Amino acid sequence: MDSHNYNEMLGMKKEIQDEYQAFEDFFSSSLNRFTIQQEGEPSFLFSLLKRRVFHGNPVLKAYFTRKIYDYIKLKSIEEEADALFSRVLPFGIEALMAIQYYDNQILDRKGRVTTPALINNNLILSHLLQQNLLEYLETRLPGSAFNLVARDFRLILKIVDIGQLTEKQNNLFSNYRGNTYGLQWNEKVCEYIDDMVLQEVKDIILNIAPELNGSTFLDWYLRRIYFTGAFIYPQFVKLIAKLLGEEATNHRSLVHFSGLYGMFLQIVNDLTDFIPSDESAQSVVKNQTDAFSDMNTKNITLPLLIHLEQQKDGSVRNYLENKETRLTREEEWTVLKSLISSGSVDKTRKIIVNLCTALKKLLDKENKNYPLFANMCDFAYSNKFENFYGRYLRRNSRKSFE
Amino acid sequence: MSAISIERYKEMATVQKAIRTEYKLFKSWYCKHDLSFCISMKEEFPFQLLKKRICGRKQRSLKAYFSFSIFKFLLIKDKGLKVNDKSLFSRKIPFIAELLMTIQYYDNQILDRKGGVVSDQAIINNFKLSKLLRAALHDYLDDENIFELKTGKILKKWVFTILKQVDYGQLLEKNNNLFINYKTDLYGIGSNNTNDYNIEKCLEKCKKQILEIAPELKEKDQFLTKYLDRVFWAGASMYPALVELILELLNIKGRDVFDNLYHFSGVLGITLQLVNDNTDNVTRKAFPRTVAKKSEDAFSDIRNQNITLPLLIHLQKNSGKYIEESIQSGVPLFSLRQEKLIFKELLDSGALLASKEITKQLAHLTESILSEMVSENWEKKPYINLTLGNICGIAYYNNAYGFIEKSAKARVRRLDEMDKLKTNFVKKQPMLGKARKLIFERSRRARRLLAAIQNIAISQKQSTTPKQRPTYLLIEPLNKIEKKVLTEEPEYGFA
Repeated sequence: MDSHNYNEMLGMKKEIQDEYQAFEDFFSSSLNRFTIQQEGEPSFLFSLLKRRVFHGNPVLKAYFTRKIYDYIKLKSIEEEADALFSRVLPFGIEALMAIQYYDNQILDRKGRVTTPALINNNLILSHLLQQNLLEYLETRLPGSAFNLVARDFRLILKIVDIGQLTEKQNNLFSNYRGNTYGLQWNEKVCEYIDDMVLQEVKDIILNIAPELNGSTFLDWYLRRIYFTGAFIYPQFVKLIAKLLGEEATNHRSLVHFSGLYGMFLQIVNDLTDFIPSDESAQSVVKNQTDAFSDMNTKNITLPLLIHLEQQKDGSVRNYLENKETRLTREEEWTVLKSLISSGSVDKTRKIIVNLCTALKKLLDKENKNYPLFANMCDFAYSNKFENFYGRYLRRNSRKSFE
Repeated sequence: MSAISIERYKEMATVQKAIRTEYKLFKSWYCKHDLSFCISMKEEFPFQLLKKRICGRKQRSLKAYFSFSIFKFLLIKDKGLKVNDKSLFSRKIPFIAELLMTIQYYDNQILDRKGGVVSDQAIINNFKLSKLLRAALHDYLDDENIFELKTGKILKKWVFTILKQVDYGQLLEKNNNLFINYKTDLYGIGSNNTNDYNIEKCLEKCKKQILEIAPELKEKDQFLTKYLDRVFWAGASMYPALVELILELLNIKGRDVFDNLYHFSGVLGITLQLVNDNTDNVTRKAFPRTVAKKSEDAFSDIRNQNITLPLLIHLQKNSGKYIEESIQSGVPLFSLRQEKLIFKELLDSGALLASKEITKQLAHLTESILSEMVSENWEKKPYINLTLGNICGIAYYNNAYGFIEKSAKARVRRLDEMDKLKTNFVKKQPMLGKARKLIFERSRRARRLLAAIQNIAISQKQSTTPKQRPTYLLIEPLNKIEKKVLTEEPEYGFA
């Protein structure tokens, strides 16, 4: 991330911090019937959201939302923009992510949400945050805008839910092994899939990993990650276009870009999951112990899928078949080394790089926001996994030299 | 059917029939419109709990009936009341009330690990179903082919307020109502500053009633306040919210009608929630099984360290340590023997009976609030008394209460017998040897009495004269003292 992007993101963060404060004040005011004050920590109800907004990490999704507005309006972030686009929607997308994280922590036992007390807490907070967010937006936005925003927010949450259900029914090792799938989607659900985006990602994957040709599992994997991770991006582009009084069809390539960008981020994320716990850093919603959570929950993501197609036996398959408890640190390293030696890691990295190239091609080079969008795509070269992998390779070459 | 009026029972059956019709309409709407339906391979309606709650053979939905009765009450009260769409009040709102209850049950089964929802898979399943049903309800209310825009908007406002209130109540329970809060008098969530006169009034009235019967709770005033807060938001608040919804839809604005109905429904809600907290504390044999609860869910409050009214009274009476130990044990499921010991201790301390009596008194209070609203010259006063006025019938009699009463009586009889035997034993000790062989072989009951006599003998021998009535010692199984006498699990009179 270059310094320009970084500075813009810092400015963005300040905006949504202010919006968060207004959100919290709304619930502390006498207007609200349910002021909740936890002794010593008044805002615990929204603690995850607060940490997302105030923590040191960049607010990527909020920034993306604002940049979409800039891209459509051919503006730069320094220029004056309606608060709806500069603050409310960027804050809204971060709040939506917080709701999803509360759910995800239950579903995947992440963030140490494993005890009954913590599961209960997340369940209640997820419901309350969703309800409070919509109530806040109703007071914050004019009626027509609120209706559009609320409808899309609910649709996004529903699509993510369907994606998560699909993950638990169709994306597990048992589905891969038996090539059987618990859920089917009919036409109405498929309407929300962007076939062009999925086909493009599939082509890029098959180009690098031809062994996946004809894999039904790959199709389910792509559909699932589109719903759980990517859908929110094109939907926000469409929403912003609608709020600006424009037709989404006028911005087809931007919609396409954002769908592809969501898929790209999801695949990067799936690879990042394979950073061993003793190497991974803690984040707002993830603990170090969340490393290898896909392996632990037997969720077959792209790197694993490529590996399993390459190696019909070996330790990875053995763990997936027989291991019922969390992997130990040694086992995590064994899995990672197997993925590296089977070429799965390099293939996935190559797919990510090719996606980055495809993404840049979709952007209008004349748009003054192009460099910033291109820079967002360069995430392919400078993400957590790349940083770790670089360190790992350097260590190994030093060892072999010694 | 001792305390339930025939009139109410008939009406409940009619309402149930009406909401079944509405359920079918909802189901067909869902299968046609909702996205989550489109992913099922089996093309089955996924919300089986909703189906069971509404279509179950013996189901009589109280919340559905309550909303219908309030509507009917308002119709009787104001003969000039104009209603454009009667089905909204006789069918749709009662159905929505049940749907809301179903969502709450999905969540509640997770929160309290009830209804067999203990495994990861079951938790995830319930979690998803709850979310999907919430989303489907929103879209249903949004559908202008079913609800007029204005009606849909009012319904949405209240429906989601109800869900939020319940979530808030659950949050209170998990942060303010646990054993740790009781012990330390420290609470996770501060006051909610509602400043709502009606809510304060309901809670005050109930608290007064509780303290009259259980004055020992004065020492735990803060905990009691927090408990009542939770009871109101997690369970009771739905009743006044339904009243507010109906009044808004009927465009009735009079403050007096609102205040009176609010008090009635608020106290009613609290009463029913307290009945629920009482019936949690009976052994699995008598535990009220429903479509969402299994017999294994008995004593779930103790297992979840959730201090409800009977447990609070018991802890304040400081009579016996078994319950306190059980609360702290963190055991996921009690054995039948453990359940019996807990139940016995609750009976012996009188806490369960006191808590039961409180609900009866609160039911009286509910009825008196209602009768204040109904003027003497109302033609349909008897009808109202038999229907809406009888809605608290469950606080007077239900199966679990019947079991508690029966067990309490048996317990008193047993203690009296023990007292008599103790006296006789001192007088007729020489005869015992002769009688012993005869009695021992004939009756199991006699065997147990004999065991008790021996028990007393041992305790007297050790010169440990009990200062209080030796309740626990007398029915302790003999095999603890003389292993050769009893070989089977002892049965207590109240089992």
